[in-house]
Amino acid sequence: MKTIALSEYRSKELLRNLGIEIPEELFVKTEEECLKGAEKLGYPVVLKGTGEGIAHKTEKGLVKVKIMNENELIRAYREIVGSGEKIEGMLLQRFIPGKREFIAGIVRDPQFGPVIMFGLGGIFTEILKDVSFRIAPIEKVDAEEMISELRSAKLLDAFRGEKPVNKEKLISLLIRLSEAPFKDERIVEVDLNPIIPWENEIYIVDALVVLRDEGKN
Amino acid sequence: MKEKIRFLLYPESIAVIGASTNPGKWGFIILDNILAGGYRGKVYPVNPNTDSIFGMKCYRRIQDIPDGIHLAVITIPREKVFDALKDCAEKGVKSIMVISSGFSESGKEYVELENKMADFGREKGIPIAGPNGQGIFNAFINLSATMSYFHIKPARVSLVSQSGNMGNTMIKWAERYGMGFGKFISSGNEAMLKTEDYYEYFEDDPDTDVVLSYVEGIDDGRRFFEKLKSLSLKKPVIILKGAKTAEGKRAAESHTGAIAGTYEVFKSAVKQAGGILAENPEEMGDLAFGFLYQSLPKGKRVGAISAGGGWAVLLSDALSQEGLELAKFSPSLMEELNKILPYYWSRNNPVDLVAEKREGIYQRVAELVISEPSVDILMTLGIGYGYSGVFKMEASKLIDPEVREHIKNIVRERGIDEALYLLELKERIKKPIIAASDSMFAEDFYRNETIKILIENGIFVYPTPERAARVAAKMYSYAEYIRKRKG
Repeated sequence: MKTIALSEYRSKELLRNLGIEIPEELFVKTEEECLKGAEKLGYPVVLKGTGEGIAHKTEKGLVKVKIMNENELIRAYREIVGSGEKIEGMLLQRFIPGKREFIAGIVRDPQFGPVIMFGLGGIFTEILKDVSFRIAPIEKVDAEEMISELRSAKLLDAFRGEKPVNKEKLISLLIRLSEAPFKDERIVEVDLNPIIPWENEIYIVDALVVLRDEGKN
Repeated sequence: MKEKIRFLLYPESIAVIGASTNPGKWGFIILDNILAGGYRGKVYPVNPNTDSIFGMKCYRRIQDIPDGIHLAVITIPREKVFDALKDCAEKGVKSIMVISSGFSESGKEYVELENKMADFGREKGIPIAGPNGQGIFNAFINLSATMSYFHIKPARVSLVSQSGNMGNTMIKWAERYGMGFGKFISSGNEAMLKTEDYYEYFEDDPDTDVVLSYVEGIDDGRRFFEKLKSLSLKKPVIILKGAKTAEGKRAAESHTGAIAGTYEVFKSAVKQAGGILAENPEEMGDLAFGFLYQSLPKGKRVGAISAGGGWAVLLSDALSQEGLELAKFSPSLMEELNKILPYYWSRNNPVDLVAEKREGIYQRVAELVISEPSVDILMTLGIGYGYSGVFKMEASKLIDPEVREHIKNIVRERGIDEALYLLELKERIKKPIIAASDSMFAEDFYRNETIKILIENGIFVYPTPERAARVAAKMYSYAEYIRKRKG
C-alpha cells in the first residue's frame, strides 16, 4: 500500500476537523510574518520548518524551542532556512513549558485493524517502550486502564512543581483519537508526539498523519 | 452454527471414516481410543475395502449406515477428503471433524482446498472442525476421539486448541493434579470453525465454567476480539499464545507504527476483551484450577498464614510484584490473635505459625484471618508441612517404633483436620483460599493426605509462593475487569 505522510500543518488541520483539540498556531512564510506572529502569540515561542514528507524534524534541525525574543527568533528563522531541507514554510507556536512528554498514536494492525497507543513520549519513546495499546475505538474504561497500566503512570500525578495531568481531558483525547480512523478511512498511522500537559490543559505540540495514497494528486 | 457445534462435542453416534486395523494409522487410533475411553454412544467404522473390522461391522460408505450420524471423524488422505465431505452431506451427518492433514500447513497451494471445505460446510449447514485437527475429547460422555484416551473426572473446564498436543498436555496436567477436565477440541487449521466459534458455543454451555484457549494465529482479529469480549463477561477465558516471536517488522513512518509489535497488540486485545493470559502450559493449569474452584476476590488485600519466615518474605515480594498487597489487620483481629498465639508471635501479616504445635490453633487463625473485613484473599503457606516431615521418621534410628507411630497418627489426623476445615471455610466464606507448599515438590505428594484432600476438593496447593501469588493476582484482575464493566 502506498502512503503519504502529511506535513505537521496539514496533519493538525485534518485532526482538528476530526474534533481533536490542537492549540492555535501560525503558518508563516517570511521573516516579517514570523515576527508579527510571535508578537501576537506572545513569547516564548517555538518555530518549526515544515513540508510534505518531512518527518523527524528535530533530528534535521528544523525545530527551535523556547525562543524568548525577537533577536533569537530571527536567528532561529535563518538557521531553519539554511538547513537545506525542502520546507514549505514555518509553524509558529506558543512554547509550552511542561517537562512531561507523552505520545499517543494510531496504527492499523493487519489482524485487529485500527489500534490506539498511549505512552511515555519524548526522545526515549522507542527505547523505553513504556506504552499501552487498545483496539480502537475505545470506551472510557479502556482509556483509564491504558493510562494506569504504564510503568510510568505516576508521571501523571503532580510532578516537579507541575500540577497533576488533567485525566478527564486526556481520556477524552484518547477516545476521540481512537475514533479518528473510523471517521476518516484514509488514515493509516497517526503520531501525536509530544503531548505536553501544562496547568489544566493537554497540548498536542506535534502531530503526524500518514494517509493511504489514493493517487489523486 | 453455535447450536450445531453441540453435535461435535456431544455426539450420540460417531462414524470413523478411514477406520483401519493398522495401529500406526489415525483410523485405528481414533477408533481404538473411542472404545478404550468407554464412549457409550454408537460407533460405526467406515472403510470402502472391508465389511468387518475387529469383529465390528464396517460400512463401505457412510451412506450405508442405517442410523443417523451426529459426528463423522475423517482420517483418510487429503485427496479423498472432499468426496468424503460430500458423502457426509448426502448422509445428513450433523457435524464433521477432519483429522486428515496436508492442507494449508503444507503450503499456500492448499489454502484454496481449505476455503472450498469451509464454503461447503457453510452451504450445507454442517459444522466442520479441522482439517489437521487431532480430535475431540469430552469427559462428560467418556468420549476420547483423540490421539490418546483419558479416564478423568469431569470438570467444567473446556479447551479449544490450535495444537492437538497442547490438549494432551493440559489433560495430563489436570490428571496429575486432580483437577478433572471437561472438553477439548483440537481446532486444527480452522478452515471453517474458528477459535471464536467455539467461544460462542462455550458461552452458553452449562458444562463450561472456565475456558482455556491455545492460539497461534487468528484470521479475523475483530471477530475474535468481539466474541472473546462477550464470553469473558460470563466466564473466565485463559489464553496461551504460541508463535509470539514470529512477528513481522512493520514498515512504519510513525513511532506508533514502529513500536506496535504483533504480540503486543494481541496481548492488549486480549486484555481489553477481558481474557487472561498464561505464559506457559503450567501457568494455564495453575490458573484453570484457581478459577474453576475458587470464588473471585473482591479486592487485592491478602491475609496470609505461613509456616516459616522465608516463604512469608518471598510471598510479600511476590505479592507486591504482582500488584497485590498484604492486608492491614484491624486492632480487634490483632487482639484476638494475641489471645491465642504465644507472646512471641510475629504480630504481623503473614501470621507465622511455624512454632505452633497446639491442636486447633491453625483452624482458629485461619477462621479469624479470612473473616477479617480487610482481607479479600486468604493465602496459606506450608500446608501439610508437618505431615511430610513424618515420612522422614520412617528411617529414624532413634525413635521407638511405637512412639513413632503415635506421632505419625497425631500429625496425620491434624493435617487432615486442617484440610477439611479449610474446605469448609471456602464454602462458608466466599473468599478465595490460595495454598502453597513445598510438599508439592515431593515425587509422591499424593501420600500426603492433607495435600491430597485439598487438591481433590478444589483447593490447589501451588509449589511456590510466586505461583500462588500470580494466580491470586490474575483472579483479582479478572474480578476487577468484570466489576468495572458490570458494576
